[in-house]
Amino acid sequence: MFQPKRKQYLSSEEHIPCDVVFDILTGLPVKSLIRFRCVSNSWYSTITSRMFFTTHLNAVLLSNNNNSPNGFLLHMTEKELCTFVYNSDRTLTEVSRFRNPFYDHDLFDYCNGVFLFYNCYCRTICLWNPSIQKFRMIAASANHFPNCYITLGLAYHSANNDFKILLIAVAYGGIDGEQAPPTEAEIYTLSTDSWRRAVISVGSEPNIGSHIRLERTYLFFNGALHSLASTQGHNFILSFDVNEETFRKIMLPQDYINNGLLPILDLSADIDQQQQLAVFKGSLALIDFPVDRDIGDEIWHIWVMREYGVFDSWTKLTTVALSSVERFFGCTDSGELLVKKLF
Amino acid sequence: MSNTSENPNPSSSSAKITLKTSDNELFEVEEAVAMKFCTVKQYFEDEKDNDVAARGSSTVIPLPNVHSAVLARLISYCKKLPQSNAVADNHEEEETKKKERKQYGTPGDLVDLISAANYLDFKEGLEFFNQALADHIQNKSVEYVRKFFGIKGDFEPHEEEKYREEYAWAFEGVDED
Repeated sequence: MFQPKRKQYLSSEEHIPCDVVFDILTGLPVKSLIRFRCVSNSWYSTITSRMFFTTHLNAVLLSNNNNSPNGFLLHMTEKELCTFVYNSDRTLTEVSRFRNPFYDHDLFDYCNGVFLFYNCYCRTICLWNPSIQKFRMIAASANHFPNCYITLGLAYHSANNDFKILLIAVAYGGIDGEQAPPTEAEIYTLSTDSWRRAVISVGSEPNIGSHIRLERTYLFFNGALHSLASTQGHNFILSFDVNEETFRKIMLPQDYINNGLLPILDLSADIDQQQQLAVFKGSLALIDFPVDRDIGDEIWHIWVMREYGVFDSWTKLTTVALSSVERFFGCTDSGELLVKKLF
Repeated sequence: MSNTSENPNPSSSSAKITLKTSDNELFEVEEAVAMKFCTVKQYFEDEKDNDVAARGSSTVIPLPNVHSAVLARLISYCKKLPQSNAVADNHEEEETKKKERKQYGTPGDLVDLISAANYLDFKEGLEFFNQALADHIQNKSVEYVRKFFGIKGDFEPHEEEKYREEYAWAFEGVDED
């Protein structure tokens, strides 16, 4: 435009430096990147490199997060899976809609663009990345565990640009005083397509796994998977560090325990309170809310662990009254609770 | 080029810096604008250290790799920087920003702007024009991209064929040119 003699294409002297080409490519959507991988061997290596993957992912996350409270919602029907983003003006915008290839599976988890599906009857696990239209059926070891319920968590392993699945089979037995079979954990690594067995041990307690009760799904936060856990009347958060493949125990807030809001995850008791882990404004949070919906306003309690892993940093944040809540989804970046109301 | 001036204006109160382009044109720009170019900033601070205060604003900073037409564009971009750099909040805003990025000319112009912004170490500008070029090539074919960047395809034909078959969906709906 301002240099009329300019040609449409670059000559070899007008070379754009590699690092600039790298930055230009990070501004492209996934479909273009898949196509441009076959421009040349060098572009292929660039686009498939770990560094590129991380930079691109961060750029996408940043453009999604800024100025909007974030919060993705997934909606699944038999035929379709839709994703919505929650806007700052409290409306929902549909971001994408996919044909659901796994209508006989339950959507269990989601992490960095990858979905984890599980069919509890056939005990099959699938990973699905809709943006590159790839899925993988995983030869599950879940079949090895009779009389157990399966808990599954999907995590992104940042150090290796890899995904891992944590599977813990929790035995139904042991409730009537009989010896429960030991609880087993297995870890799947996507890059090697292999399972490895792990022992659930935490510091001085070498076999914390027996008699444990866990949630069926996990919260992925700060490089670790988290589940509320209960063993022999003792409640805590079990965390699994994905990079180091180690288990850890995170104690629940003291005043939560003192208030006698126990027990959690007790399948036999008449439960009128439910607890859920969430991420509240960048911190691990415990949300405690009533299940009984006949009473009017229901009291919700929120605790936040201000400093991750530091017991003393648990803070009772607030108590709110909400009515007729059917389901709690999670928190937005700005600290709003997303719930589904009955009416 | 209305934003630039070749005749010095000594009565102006804000500090000005003179830049000299590859085609020997002189640009007098406000210090705040010039300092966005880290290369200029570095040069300017080095000069200061060398104690040329006595010469004051008469310092001329040479930019042998930047053409006057490109510099004029960069300066005019700098002046509307604040709103340009806000991150899009929603879909409509993103569309508006795309249109805004489109105003900076042909892909060839963008390459000039990118090269200059890179040489001047002008981060925000580089990001902006990189994204403008990314917008432009987003729906282009592999052949177009090879031609545009002057890259030779170096896959074995059967390898490339296999790849294109495996990811056929990624090659659908590309622009005609």
